[in-house]
Amino acid sequence: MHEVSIVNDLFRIVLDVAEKEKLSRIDKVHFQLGRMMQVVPELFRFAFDSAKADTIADQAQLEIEFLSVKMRCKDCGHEFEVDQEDFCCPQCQGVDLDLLQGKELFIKSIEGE
Amino acid sequence: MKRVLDRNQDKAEQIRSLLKEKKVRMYNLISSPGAGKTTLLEQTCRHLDHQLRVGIIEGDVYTDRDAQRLKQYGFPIVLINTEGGCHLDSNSIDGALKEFDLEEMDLLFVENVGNLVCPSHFDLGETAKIAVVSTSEGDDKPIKYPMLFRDARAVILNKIDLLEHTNFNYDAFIKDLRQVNPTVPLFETSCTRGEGLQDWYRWLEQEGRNA
Repeated sequence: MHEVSIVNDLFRIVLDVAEKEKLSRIDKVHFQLGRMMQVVPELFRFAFDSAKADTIADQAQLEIEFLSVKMRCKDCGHEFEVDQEDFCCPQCQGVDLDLLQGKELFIKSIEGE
Repeated sequence: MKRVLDRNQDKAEQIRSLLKEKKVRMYNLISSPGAGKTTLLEQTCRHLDHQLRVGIIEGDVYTDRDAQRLKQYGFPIVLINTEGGCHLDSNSIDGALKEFDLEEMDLLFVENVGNLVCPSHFDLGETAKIAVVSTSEGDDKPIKYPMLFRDARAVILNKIDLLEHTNFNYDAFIKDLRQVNPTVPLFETSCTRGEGLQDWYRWLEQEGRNA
């Protein structure tokens, strides 16, 4: 249920930005979500829809862009996408890996007027 | 581009530098409910009695039961009731830290809310995360919750005395854990019987010397 905390934080930022940009209505929030964060999209949408009620974002759409888990092998330098549970370099079978992508919780854009 | 949870992260960094300045180590214990975090803390507190100045931050969803269990060891305890919340965050830790005299402290344990997903996302400003898992909950935890097991500085496999009564596949657990985190120290313990805890205590002492 970390979805609710993430959405609360997301809304704080969205409403902050709206105030700074003098928006009176928010139409869309484009959100980037790393797969490593294990966020359940249905719960996230539900939390978003609950949070947006009675705000200037009450009609806003949520667009979620999922980002895959990407690693770099520390042994051979190969960069690859982690498929499901395979935390292992497909070239050299090394398991000492740097995470390049997958922990993102980014607001990429906010649309409104 | 705005990063969500930046507010939590900023506070966590403030806590980290405060603890560094005060020379206090803080370990964030994360596990499923019932893996044995409180029993591990009971044993550890008993062992550390008078050797180190220890404090405990107890995260509980509603009750103070764990805090009551730990009270008898005489270490200062601050209870954080999350009131349904599934994890602690850096803001609640910041509040709890104000209750301690950090000048008079060496080691702080945070017992996070029993949950393997959410607590691993919220940096508390800890020195390190410790993952606790038990044989009765299945061998697939490292691969199902890679984020925690990648970030953990130590892993405790508890209830090792129950191994023969469960279908826990030890070899599969080790293989998965090593794939997710090849170098993390693993302590195999029975916190109720006290088995395997000496290595954990030694590791804690060693960490103090390396700090």
